[in-house]
Amino acid sequence: MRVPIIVKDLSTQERKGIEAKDGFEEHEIANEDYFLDGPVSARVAVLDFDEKTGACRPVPLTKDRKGYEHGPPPAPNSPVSPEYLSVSVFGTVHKVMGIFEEPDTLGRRLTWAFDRPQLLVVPRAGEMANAFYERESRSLQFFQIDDKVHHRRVFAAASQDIVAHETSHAVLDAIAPDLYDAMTPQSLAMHEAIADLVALHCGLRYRPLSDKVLSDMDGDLGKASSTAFSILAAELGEARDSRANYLRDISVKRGLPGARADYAPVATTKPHELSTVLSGALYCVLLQAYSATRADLETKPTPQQEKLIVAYGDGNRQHGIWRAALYLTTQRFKRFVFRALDYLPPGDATWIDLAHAMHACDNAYHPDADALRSAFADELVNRAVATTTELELPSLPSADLIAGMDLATLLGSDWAAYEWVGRHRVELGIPDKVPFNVRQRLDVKKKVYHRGGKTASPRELVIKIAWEETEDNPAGLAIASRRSVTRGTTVAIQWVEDGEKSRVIAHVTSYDAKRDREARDELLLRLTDEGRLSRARGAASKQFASSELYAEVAGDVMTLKGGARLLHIVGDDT
Amino acid sequence: MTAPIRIRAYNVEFGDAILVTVPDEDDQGHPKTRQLLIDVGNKNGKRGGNKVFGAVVDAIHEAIKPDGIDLYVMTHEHLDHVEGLAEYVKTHQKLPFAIDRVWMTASAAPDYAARFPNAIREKKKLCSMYYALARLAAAQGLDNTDDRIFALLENNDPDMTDRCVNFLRTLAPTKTHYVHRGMDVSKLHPFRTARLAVWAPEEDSTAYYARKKEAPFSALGELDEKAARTYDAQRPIPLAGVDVSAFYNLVERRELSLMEGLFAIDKAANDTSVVFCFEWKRRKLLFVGDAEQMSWRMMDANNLLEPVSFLKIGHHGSHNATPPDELLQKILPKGQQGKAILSTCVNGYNGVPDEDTLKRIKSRATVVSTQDVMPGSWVDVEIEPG
Repeated sequence: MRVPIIVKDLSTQERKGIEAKDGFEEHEIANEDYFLDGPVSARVAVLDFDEKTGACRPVPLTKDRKGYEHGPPPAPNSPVSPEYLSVSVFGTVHKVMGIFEEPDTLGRRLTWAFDRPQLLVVPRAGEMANAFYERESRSLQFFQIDDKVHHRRVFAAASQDIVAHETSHAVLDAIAPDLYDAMTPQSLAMHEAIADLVALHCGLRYRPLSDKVLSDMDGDLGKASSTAFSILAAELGEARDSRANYLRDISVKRGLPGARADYAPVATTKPHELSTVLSGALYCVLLQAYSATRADLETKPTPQQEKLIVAYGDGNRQHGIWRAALYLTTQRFKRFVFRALDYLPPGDATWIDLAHAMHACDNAYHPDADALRSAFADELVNRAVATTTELELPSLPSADLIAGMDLATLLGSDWAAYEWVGRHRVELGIPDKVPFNVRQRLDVKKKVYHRGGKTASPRELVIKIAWEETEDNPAGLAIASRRSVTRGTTVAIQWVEDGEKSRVIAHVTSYDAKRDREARDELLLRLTDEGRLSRARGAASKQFASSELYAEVAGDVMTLKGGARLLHIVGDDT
Repeated sequence: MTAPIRIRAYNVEFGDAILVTVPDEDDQGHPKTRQLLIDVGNKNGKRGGNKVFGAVVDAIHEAIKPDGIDLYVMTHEHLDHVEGLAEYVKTHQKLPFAIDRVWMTASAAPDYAARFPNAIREKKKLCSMYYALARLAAAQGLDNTDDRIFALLENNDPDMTDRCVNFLRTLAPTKTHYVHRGMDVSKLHPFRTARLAVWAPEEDSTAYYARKKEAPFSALGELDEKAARTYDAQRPIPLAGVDVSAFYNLVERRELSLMEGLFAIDKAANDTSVVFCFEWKRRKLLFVGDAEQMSWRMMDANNLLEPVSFLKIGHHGSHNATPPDELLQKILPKGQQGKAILSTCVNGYNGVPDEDTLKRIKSRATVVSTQDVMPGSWVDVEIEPG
């Protein structure tokens, strides 16, 4: 089915002089079993609750002249009618899912982190400058407010940036579910940074916008620190605070305390603010990659790249180079960042864990092209996120790890998986005598591009193992004297039909840093001090006040549940 | 030898009615007993709970006669603290005793809107939210079937509360004071052998009303009062093809959010509670109304918290009105076994009284509870002079 989706948002379109006809794009949704009024598909259901009554009404799907099943077009001067909003948000959610499911990203079909097949999407959730994903209600909620300066109603669901961002939280929850219960600020900030990068990615794929930006910058994206790409959620940002031009700018140059002098230090446990260090680092990597690709295309394009330049150029070679460079960079960046998410170790994964996962994943298929890996490592070191030593990837376990193991059995049999992990716990880095839990075992088939246009479709078995470690809580935290933190390891095995040739290509284990323990202390103390963390009576997910966080306590050990709710629900935004 | 001061808590089911009998002196320095009455209210009116006020007010009269009440304190504008005297007059035409002087929380002042327009604007938002939530609850049949929602709706009803507060303003029209932290109350009370200090609330209550985030799932817009009172609420039904279980789970969470909205309203009023320290013969008695954590944090920030001999446990023993251990230690230090009164009722509010909270207080003070006596009856705590 093809549906029209709003691209970026109305403010950005106005600022960049994008014509109304280019303000939306048609997105084709494939891979779904059915489509119904609502719109509803097997994995996504839009629930439009009427603002006046609270009743839920379906938006009908109609057919347009082209014969596509299509949402109703926007009414004149009212591009964000409830009907259009519902169709657009439906399409955008599917678009983001598609980005992750593409063969050159995860190469597998997503299933949600919760126990039901459908993600519920509420495009008009209420009066608030907010939007969020919540696992407990299996939903995305988009709110709305009045823009009193421009005299218009602003819907978070009408911002592609916001919808992409929130959908990414749901997708990331499906990929790395432990992050939702994390109590490590960097883990929560990672959720946020990845969500911003997906929003960025959607903007980069929007041709009318990218043409404007490339043209304004003469093809040099580093010319200005901030561009329409790096600015996210302009319309809602403006409506919320007329002095602001956006909700987020990921081009900011920030680092952790101790960063190089030209990076503004960020010393906080608030995930949103903290996330700008990571997203800023990756944005810099993107700009560097674009710049290098553009230089390559200008000087020594391969025959395939030459074809791309011509196809993108519309008769203008310079424009063709810029556009082709942006396209290639965007795709490469997607593979560098998002494909690595399957390699994250379970538990409270930190930015060093992410860096290890990205390095391992990229190195597995592009061992000779290390420009992105080096650039990212430099950015992290400059920002005092990690030292060069901390970023070094431990060597891979020996071939004995999978010697004689039938991978199909390892994939399909829980018993075999536990037996295998138990036998190799030392090589896998699992602490002695600690019970472990075998998590996802993924069978994925990826598409890998090599220089010169060659492609490959390797099959992988990805196995994740988690365990719990306890550590002291800070003095003054009344809830419990100790806490349980989930940690883990991920092993990726390239699966070759001839079992003898299968090999371990990645092994990423949670990195334990003192500063992360201190950051957990600080976060828990802050939440307690602000009166937003209390002890759960029963399961935390069943607790009453959805604007608070709950700790489950057993004996004198606590664990935080739903820490990711800090991202928008519980109001920890900057 | 000076008689002890007596704190008497009446079982009004769910609410407060506290009578403090103070061995004091008259202007000539002769012994004279004075009476301090705090609140008198109950949230169970719609379910017949108001019947208890007859017995309670008569019992207060019996305890103090032939004297009247020297000082009456209305801690905050919640039905379970303000309804009793007005209800008694409704059925008995007049109170059986006189009230000489009245303290009310600062934000109940008639000119408060003119002096603190921001606070009133925030308060009005919560009132509008209340009306819309009440209609939403009614549309979903929750106002009668869910006891927690029923309790919150009844206790926070702005119209009923306003009527009661208006009545209380008439008790001692020329001697009614709207008190807050930092106010010099030394000449605003009748006690010659006692010093009173108001620890809370802040005079500007904006922070109490404005800090509440909107309920995360509330589908309600920011309705004005008129729109809120006529809100046309409907119960949603699932669309074809939508996972029914997930749909109703979402609807349920939206309904829970309704509770959360009501809690936000409830907390805001609780935090406007008059908290005062009654210092008598080297003993300090602390009466806290229903002040919640924000109020406690502000009191602590103002360096007001100090050890007391007696605590009226806040908010009927809920977990959110007793401060965390580090602050509790400042008022009830471990090892100096103080005394405390709990005025509460089981099944009145969800999680009230909270067993863990009571355990924490009991490790520091001997607790006497109105739960141990029948409605209309009372429990006493006596504090000897220091």
